[in-house]
Amino acid sequence: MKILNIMWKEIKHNLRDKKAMFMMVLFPIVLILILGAALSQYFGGDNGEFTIDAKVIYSMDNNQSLNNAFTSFKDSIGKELKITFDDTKDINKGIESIKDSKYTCYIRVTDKDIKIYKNKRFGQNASYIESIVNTFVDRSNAIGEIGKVNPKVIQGILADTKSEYTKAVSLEKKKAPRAKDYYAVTMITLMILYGSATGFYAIAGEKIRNTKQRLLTAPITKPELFIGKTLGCVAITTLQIGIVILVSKYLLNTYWGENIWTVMVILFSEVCVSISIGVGLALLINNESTGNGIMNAAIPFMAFLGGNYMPLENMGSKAIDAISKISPLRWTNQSIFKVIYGNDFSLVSTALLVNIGVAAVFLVIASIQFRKEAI
Amino acid sequence: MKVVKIEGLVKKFGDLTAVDKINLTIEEGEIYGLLGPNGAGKSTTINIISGLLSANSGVVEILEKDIKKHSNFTKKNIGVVPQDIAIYEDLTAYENVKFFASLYGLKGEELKQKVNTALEFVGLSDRAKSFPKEFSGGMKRRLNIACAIAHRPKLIIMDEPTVGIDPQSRNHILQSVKKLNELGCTIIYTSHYMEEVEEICSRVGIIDHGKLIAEGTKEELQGIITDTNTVMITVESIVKIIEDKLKGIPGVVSVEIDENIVKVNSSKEVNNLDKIIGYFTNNGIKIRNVESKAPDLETVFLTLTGRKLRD
Repeated sequence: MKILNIMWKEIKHNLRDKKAMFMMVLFPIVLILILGAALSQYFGGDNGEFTIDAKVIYSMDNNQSLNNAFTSFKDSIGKELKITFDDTKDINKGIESIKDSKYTCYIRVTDKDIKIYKNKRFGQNASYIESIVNTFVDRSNAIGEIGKVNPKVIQGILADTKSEYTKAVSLEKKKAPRAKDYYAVTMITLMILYGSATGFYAIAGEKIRNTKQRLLTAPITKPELFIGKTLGCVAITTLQIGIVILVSKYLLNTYWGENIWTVMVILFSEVCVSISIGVGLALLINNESTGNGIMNAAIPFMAFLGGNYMPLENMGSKAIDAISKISPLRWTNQSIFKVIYGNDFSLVSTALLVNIGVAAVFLVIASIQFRKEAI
Repeated sequence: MKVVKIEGLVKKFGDLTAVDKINLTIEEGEIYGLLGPNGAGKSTTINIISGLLSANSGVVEILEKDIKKHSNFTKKNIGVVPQDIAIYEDLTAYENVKFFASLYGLKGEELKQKVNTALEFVGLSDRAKSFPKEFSGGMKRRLNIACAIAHRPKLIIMDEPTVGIDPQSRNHILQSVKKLNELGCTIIYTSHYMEEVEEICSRVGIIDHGKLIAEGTKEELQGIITDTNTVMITVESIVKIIEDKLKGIPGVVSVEIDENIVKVNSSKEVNNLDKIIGYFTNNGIKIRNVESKAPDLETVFLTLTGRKLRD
C-alpha cells in the first residue's frame, strides 16, 4: 500500500509538471511533424509518385540474349523510376566507382548471370535497386526454363514485363519508412531516453525539496521507497509515451506495422532502462548540476549512435557502425524497424536483453547506494 | 512514562565527535527545549532520535523501546517538523498531509479525518485545496507542522519551526505547540529564539561541543549560574543615596548606581526586599519603579557556552 502511495505521488507530480509533460508528450509530436515534413525527400516510402532517383553503372559481357533482356529492363525502369544508367567496359572501374560512392549500384551482366554491387551508403535506394534486379533475374531464369519447354509462350510473357517490375518495387517500397514513420519511432525512443530525467529528479528532487528527511523518518523501508519511486516513474513515462504513440498512429497516420504489441514491449524495456539510469545517476552523483550535465551530454551522443537524428547507414562508416553498438538506442531502434517493416523478430531478444541488462546494472548499483546513504 | 531515554550516546564523523556521551530523559507531557550553538551536536542528536542516523554507541529508547530493535514502532510514534520546509509545492495542502500520513499506515476514512483535523489544527482547513506555492512563509511553516502531526505521534520533534516567519504566524505556531502538549504530546523543541523557549518549554537542555552541559527547569538553570537576586530600583534623584548604608542591609552583596537606577544584588538565601525599599522611603527618596531581575536564559546560555545562541 505504501509503495502504491509513493507511486501515485510520483505520477501526480509528473502529470502536474507542465514542463515535463511538454517535453515528453508535445515535443516529440511536434518533432515528428517537423522532421517528417522537412526530411521527407531523404526517405523512401509511399509518397504518391514513386521514384528512386539514383545513378547506376553497368557492364555487359557477350551473352546476346541476356544483354538484350537487360537493356530492355534498364530502359524500362530507368524511365519509370528516374534511375540513370551509365555503361562501362571496365569491371574494375565499375567496382571502384561504387567504392568511391559515385554510383548507388554496379550491375555486371556476365555470360551466365547478373551480379550486383551496392554501396551501403545509399541505404534504402541501393536495396530497392538490388531488389528490382533480383526480380528481373528470377524472371529471366523462369523465362529461360519455360523457353526450353514451350518457346511459343515467351513473347506473351515478355510483353507484360514492365508492370511486374513496378509492382515488385511498389511492394518493396511500402515496407520502407517514410520520414514521419522513421521519426515517429526515433523521436519516441529519444524522448524515452530523456525520460531518465524523470528518474533522476524522483530521487534528487526529494533532496532539493528537503522532503527526503521527512520520508526517511516515516515508517517505510528504503527498498519500499526505492521501488515505489522507480515504478511510479516507469508508469508515468509509459503513459506519456503511450499518448505520443496513439497521437502519431491515429492523428499523424504514421505506420507502426502489424506487431505493435511487440514494439510496445521493446519501448517499455527502454522506459525501464531510462528510469534506471536516471535513478542510478541521482544516487551515484548526488549533485543535481553534475547529474544534469552528464545526462545532457550522454543522451544526444547515445541518440546519434542509435540513429535517432538520421539513419547511420547513410554515413557508410564502419567505425561509426561499430561504435554505435554501445548505444542501447541502436538495438532498440533497429529491432523496432525490423519488426515494423520486415516482420523480422531476430533483434527483439537482443534489444530486450541489452535494455534489461543495463537497467539491472543501474538498479543494483542504485539500490546498494541508496541503502548506504544517510541524510 | 519516559518518552525519550538516552544513555551514553556517542556519534562520530571521522575524527570529529559530534555527540559525546549524552544522557537525557524526557518524561511524558514535557516540552523539552534543546538549545545549543550551531555545530554543538543538537541536530545530530535529533537525527539519531528520529532514526535518520545511527549512533556509534549508546542506547536510545522511545516510549521505552529501543529504536534499533523497534524501528517501525518508534518511527510510527514520532512526528518530525524539519527546520527546512519539507512539502511538495505541486501537491495541494490536503494532498501533502494525506501523502505523509499515508506513509504511517493510515487509510480510508481514518486517513481523511486525521488529515482534516491536522489542517484544522494549524488553521489551514479553508486552504486545503490550495497549492503551497500560493502560501505565505508562515502558512508553509504551518503546513510543515500539519504534515508531521496528522498521524498523531506521541513524540513531536520540532527543529526551529518558527524561522523566518511573521509574528502572527509565529504566535499561531507557539499556541499550536502548547495545544499539542495539552493534548498529550511530548515535544522536543529547538529554537534560536530564547524567548520562545522560555515561554513554552517546561525543561531545557543545553548542548555544547557534543555534551549536555546543563539541564533543568528555567529556575534550575538560573540557579546554576548565580546565587544572587538582583533588584533594580529607578529613583527620581540619587543625591541622597549613601551606598555604604545600602550595603549594610543584611544579605546585600553589592550595589551599583547607573544614572538614576540603583542595582542591588542580594543573596538568594535572604529575603530583604522590604528593608531595601524601606531604606529609600525612610530617606525621602522617591521611587519610580522597582524591578526584580533574575538572569534570563540568554544570560544562562552565554555564561555556560561563552557564545550567544545565534552565533
